Amino acid sequence: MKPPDGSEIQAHWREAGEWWAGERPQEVWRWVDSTGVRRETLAPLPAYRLDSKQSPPAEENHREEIALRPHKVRDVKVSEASGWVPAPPSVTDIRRSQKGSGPPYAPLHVLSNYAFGRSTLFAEEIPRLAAALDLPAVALADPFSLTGAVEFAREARRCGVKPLIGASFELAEGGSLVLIARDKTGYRSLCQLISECHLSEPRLFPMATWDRLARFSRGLLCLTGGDLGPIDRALIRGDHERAAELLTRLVDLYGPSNVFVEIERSYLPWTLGVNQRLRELAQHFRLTAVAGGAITHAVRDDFPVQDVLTCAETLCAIDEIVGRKPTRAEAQPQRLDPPARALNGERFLASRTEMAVRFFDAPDLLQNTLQLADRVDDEVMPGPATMPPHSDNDPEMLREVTWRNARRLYGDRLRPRLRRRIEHELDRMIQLNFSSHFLVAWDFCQWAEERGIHYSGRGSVVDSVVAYCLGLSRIDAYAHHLHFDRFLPADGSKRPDIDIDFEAKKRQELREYLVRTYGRQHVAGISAIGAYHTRGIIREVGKVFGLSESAIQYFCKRIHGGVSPERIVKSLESRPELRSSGIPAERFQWVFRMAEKLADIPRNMRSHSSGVILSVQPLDEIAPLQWSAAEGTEEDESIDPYWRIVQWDKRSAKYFFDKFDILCLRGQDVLSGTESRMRVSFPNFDAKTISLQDEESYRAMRSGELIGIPQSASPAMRQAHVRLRTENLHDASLVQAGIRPGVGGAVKMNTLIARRRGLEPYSFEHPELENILGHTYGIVVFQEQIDQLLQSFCGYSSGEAEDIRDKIHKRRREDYGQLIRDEILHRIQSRGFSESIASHVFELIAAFKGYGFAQGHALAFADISIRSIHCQQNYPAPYFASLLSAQPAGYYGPCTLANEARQRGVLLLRPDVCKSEDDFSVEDVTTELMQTPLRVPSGAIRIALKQIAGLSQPTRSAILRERQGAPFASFFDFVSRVRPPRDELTLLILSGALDTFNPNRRCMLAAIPEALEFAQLLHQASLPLTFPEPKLPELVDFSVADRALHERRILGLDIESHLMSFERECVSRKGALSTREAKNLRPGRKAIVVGNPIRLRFPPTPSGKRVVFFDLEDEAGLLNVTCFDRVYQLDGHAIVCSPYVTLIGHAQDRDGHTAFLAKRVFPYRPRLLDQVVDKTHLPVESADFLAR
Amino acid sequence: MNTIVAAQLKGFYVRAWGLPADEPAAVAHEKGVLDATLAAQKQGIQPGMTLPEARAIVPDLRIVSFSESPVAALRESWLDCLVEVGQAVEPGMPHEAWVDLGPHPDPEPVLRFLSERIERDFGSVRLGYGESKWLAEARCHLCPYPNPPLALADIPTLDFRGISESFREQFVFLGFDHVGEIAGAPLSLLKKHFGREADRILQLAQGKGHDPVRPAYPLASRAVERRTPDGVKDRLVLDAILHRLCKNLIRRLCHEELQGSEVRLVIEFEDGLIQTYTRKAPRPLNTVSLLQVAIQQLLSAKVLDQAVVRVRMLMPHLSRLVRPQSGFLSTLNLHQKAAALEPKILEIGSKFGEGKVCRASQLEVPRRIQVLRVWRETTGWK
Repeated sequence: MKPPDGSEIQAHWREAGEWWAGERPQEVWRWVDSTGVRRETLAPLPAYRLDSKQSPPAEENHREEIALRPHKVRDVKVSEASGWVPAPPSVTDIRRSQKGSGPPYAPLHVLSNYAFGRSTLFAEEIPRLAAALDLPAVALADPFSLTGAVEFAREARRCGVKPLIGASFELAEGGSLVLIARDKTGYRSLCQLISECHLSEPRLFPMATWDRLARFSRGLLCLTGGDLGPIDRALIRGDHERAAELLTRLVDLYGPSNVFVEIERSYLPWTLGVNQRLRELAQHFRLTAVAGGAITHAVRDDFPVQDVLTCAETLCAIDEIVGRKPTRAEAQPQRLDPPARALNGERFLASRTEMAVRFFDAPDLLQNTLQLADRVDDEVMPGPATMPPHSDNDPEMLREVTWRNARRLYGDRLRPRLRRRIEHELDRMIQLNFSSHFLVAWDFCQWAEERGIHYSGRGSVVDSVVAYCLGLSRIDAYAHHLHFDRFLPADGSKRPDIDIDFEAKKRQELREYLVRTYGRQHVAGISAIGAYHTRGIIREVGKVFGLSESAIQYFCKRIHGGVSPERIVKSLESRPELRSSGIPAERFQWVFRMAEKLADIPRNMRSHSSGVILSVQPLDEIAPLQWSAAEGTEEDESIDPYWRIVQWDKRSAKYFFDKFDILCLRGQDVLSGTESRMRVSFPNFDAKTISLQDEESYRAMRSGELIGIPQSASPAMRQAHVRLRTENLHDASLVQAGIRPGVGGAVKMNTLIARRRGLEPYSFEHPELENILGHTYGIVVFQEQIDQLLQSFCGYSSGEAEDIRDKIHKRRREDYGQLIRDEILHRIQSRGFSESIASHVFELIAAFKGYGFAQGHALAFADISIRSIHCQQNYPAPYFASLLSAQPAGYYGPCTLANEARQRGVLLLRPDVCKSEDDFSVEDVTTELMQTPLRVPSGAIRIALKQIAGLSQPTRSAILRERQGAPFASFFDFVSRVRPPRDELTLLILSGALDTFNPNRRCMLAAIPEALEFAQLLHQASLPLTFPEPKLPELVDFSVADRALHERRILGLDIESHLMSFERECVSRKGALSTREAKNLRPGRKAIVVGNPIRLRFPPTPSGKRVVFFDLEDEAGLLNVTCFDRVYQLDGHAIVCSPYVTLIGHAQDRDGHTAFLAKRVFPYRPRLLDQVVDKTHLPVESADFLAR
Repeated sequence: MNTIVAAQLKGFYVRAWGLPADEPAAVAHEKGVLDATLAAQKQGIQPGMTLPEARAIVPDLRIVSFSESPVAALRESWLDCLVEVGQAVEPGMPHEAWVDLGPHPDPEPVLRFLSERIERDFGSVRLGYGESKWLAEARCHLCPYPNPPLALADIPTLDFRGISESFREQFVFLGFDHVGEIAGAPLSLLKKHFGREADRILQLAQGKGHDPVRPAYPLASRAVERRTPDGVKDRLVLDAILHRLCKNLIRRLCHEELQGSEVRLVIEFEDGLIQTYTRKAPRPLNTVSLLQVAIQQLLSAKVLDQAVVRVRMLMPHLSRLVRPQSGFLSTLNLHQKAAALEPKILEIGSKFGEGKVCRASQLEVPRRIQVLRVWRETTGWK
């Protein structure tokens, strides 16, 4: 109820209230009645609506008619492949959704969700909302960030809204100013200022100082920041002098015409008094006052989501007021901040009508916002950056280097055709002005080559002969007839995309080389944005609402990537693993209610794993820079302690920079590791020279025994090699291109296999078709083939062809191929081809909608697989030692890899503090053959110290350091010299790392207190005294089963045999087969198999039914199992949640590959538990997503 | 040393839903079998089994889903039986509880009484007693009750519920697979591994340690008790005992600023019979005289023909004391009030105990006011 007319209103504000407890927000008046008594009146406001379907909107809600929120995704390629990214709403639709009347205005202080926790608005959503409200301009003002600037500006232009690029800056003494770029100079100042505020302060705690503001003040418009600004803060305290002083300082910095006093009316308790004083100050300093204030959410009803987001970001429980996250680093000036959680939900993007109500007495403030917007140039952002030159004449140098290397690779007498090809590629690269790109790449690859770092090109760059000559690729594009136009079309419509895989461990060194070579101002990484997805939402919202860690974990473990946030509730019913898990829906009600609105909201920024950009201009003139968490490896002054990143992710950066993808492929680490281990015995061993013609490698491929092979280990890949009967590199590349793109892939694999094996006849209607598709049996397998078809039959240029191919894939939801059907048919026929050829070619083109590979890319991956197979076949111990050291890598975890190594005759040796290195190492072993000791060189793998979970780096270093001087003599000697913490000592004993001193682990566990005391005694002695070592007590040791369980729990793998071997006798007695026996069954034979289900996969199916594929693991290997929807619905809980299962089903033959079709799946209770003392749990992971 | 009784009601959930014993039926919670009827158990259904397993064994198994209300009702009524015999009752899971009998000389008759009483109304029960909760619980499963060291010797270490899970795991690592082995371990060895906890662990393992029962049932209740081992037959003597008990109980309630309007009187006769009388008054029984009147009315029509060996007086469902303050500083003006307040606070404090006086500023503040205060403090808004 409002106070009576004529009362003196002292304050008027709105409070959010405890909305989570069902309390309604309320409006508060503090007023003085006619008798002079101060009174307070509270009136309830409409409750926040979290679910728009529950009740009609309480007030005008212009945004409900059309979905303006963009769907952000982490990986565009994957999402596009799965086809669920909705197209953005059309501008007409957006405009049509407009409602309301009132004077136009421009929101000048809008925060996007790149302000991390301070806003729920997507950068692209802001201009859409502005367009829907018919607002002519809108300003983005994220704190110390231009992360959303590109998305914001591009979408604004699409929607016909003028984008104002700005940022807010928090001062050391508190309060934020908003600075908006007036022109290109202003934009440069903004970038430099943000970079300076980030790079001169500790990571994650940027701060503005007056000195920094003064240095970068050109071309900027300054807003006082509204309620968040320093002037309002001073006025709230009643410190009018300080407010005037601050305003004077701003006027001195930016000039009176560029400073705007921001008046905020978002129903805060002090608004009446502060705004009055602000207007007086503006008048006094002759400054323009504008309507403003921070905007953090789209509509009033979004406030609860915003509030929860703030809570999650500031580590605040829902019933707390202030979060626990520090706002300043220790070294920075400390101050008391107002709560990050808003007092009310009024900071939403108000419609014109609503703003007219808020500023009913001052319409000029709304008009002034438009004046400010008019003063800003239409385009303030710079053009694309240029690559730093490598020499005075890069084109000439590129030619020289290319020809020199070509002669080295192909011999002095180059074939005319090859010469023409190289000349053609060079001409195009130089003509399109990309010489520097290739020379930069050549330079760092050469540097890597000199240091023995393994690398190889991937992607379309492999299609270039010049790239091969420069050493960017290991695949000879000329020999494999690769199509260069796919990489670099003649019209320059595509920028060169040079992707190179290096060893993961050496990547940072390479980045530092680039920084040293080109200067820290010119090299940086690009950023990647982490966003809220299903599990993150459950965790964060759960924590905010005070759910226990165990309840959150329980839920999270049962949910995986396939469940999108909006489908969480549905999945509780539809997914057997959730349906039967007893998750109480009422406890997670807020998770369910918030999930859809929190989906995809950014939550942090990190360094992109591979993207590196270089520019001849200082990078901070184009985009702001900040620190990433990646630490440098060198103590060098020219190298920063942390890796610098620009604030743009790859989607934004691509409009301004040509990036290099310095990727990592663990396969390179494996080959490099094998090479270094082999060189101990064979100094000349070189993994790069391994022949690709080795028949044994292809035989292994055809057998499907590829567990542990990079790029070929997945069940689908293994199966495809068996079915295709892979015989050479080309066949292997067909499998790579057919299988690796996944279920959204474009290749008709079954037809390909049938034709490859001669089971399906095929012919070509025209010789040109045979030229293009002959080597792939008349089927389009590689992306280049579409380009070639479009160029040869339709007469498109290389650029046009590449553009059409790209659109057929990306716009497949609208069936782009069919849209251009008439044009393609007409073009083909007009070039003299028959109607049937035309329709056949069109079908080939239009059908290639899924995700595909370039041929060069497939060849590059196949190349790594073949070299790896050769190493695995011929040097199994070094290979598996490298593979285990490179973990996490590849498709399977260490337990499966160790099992595979054992299957191949490699002995696994327990970790040993006297012998184990930090990585897995290779040892010779002695074995008995016909009662004669036989020494097997490199016959065993010694488990690495780093494999002991929970053993810290300092302890590992101490072990390696201490044993260099003298070997450890005893258990007590070890403890006294290394002095590990008690829990780490327990881990060492239980993992068997101290068995050398005494095989009885229990004795050593019992002696831990004595050992620690003994170590203490020796340490305290000031003289080198000798104390007698205590004696170990005599106890009965752990059982074999106990030891095996401890080893699995601590090492993540089994040393002597797989845990299933303990069950074998029991399950065999009941008629169950091992996986090896099951694989050898005749098709159709029924069997029972018991094992550990791993690597569950739920690929989408056209029918929408769920098919589950998984591997059943036992001591004999893996069995590929398929469960159709009926079985999954019946027994899904057992598959997902049981460590061991009993499987009833029958064998199936798929072109020579045996798979197992499950009919029923039951949980299996391991007998192992009866043999051990600790019966609580088995350290066996039942499914990959449960283990995370 | 007090004697603690552990009680575990068998077939609790089956009884809560009133499932007939001859029908194969089970109570299910979170897709697991919580309890099963005798007929179901005979066919192989065991508590802890998953529902699919249970259905696979008995396809026509009747399954009842768990819900709170039937459990709560049964829980309350069977715990009331325990209240009659002990000083304090601590419930665990709905079907289990511990009762503190105090320094009882011979708990066997109490156990017999409890067993008969519970079995008459609720079905079979497991009972065990000992000096600690865990010992009593362990002995629930042992019959007859051997002396503690023998009773505990064969219990697996992982079931040694008197100590934390990490300690249990550590014992297993050290090779102590049974509690008996821990009980026989030298204290010096235990001290090395468990430090200060060693004494307590050893005592618990030997069945001696102190593990008090927390009085958690009935919720918000207080009780006083008097034992007369020689038996009281004289009504005047009994009235004198009751008067003393009333005084003690009211003093305790005043001290804790509690009040209640219900009283239960439990009388144990020399032949072991226990009678419970309950009276609910229309107004709070917050003085000795009011309580005494209520007790007299309770016993007025009762003929006590046997000697009484124990009397227990219990007041459940207590609430905070509500006291009018009509005369308190009301005649003074503002300045006089301020001047008189401090001495008054001291006076009240000395009477009721320090910390019992609470200023208004110390009262719980609504969150709305707290939020505004934080904003005011951080922004400087006045």
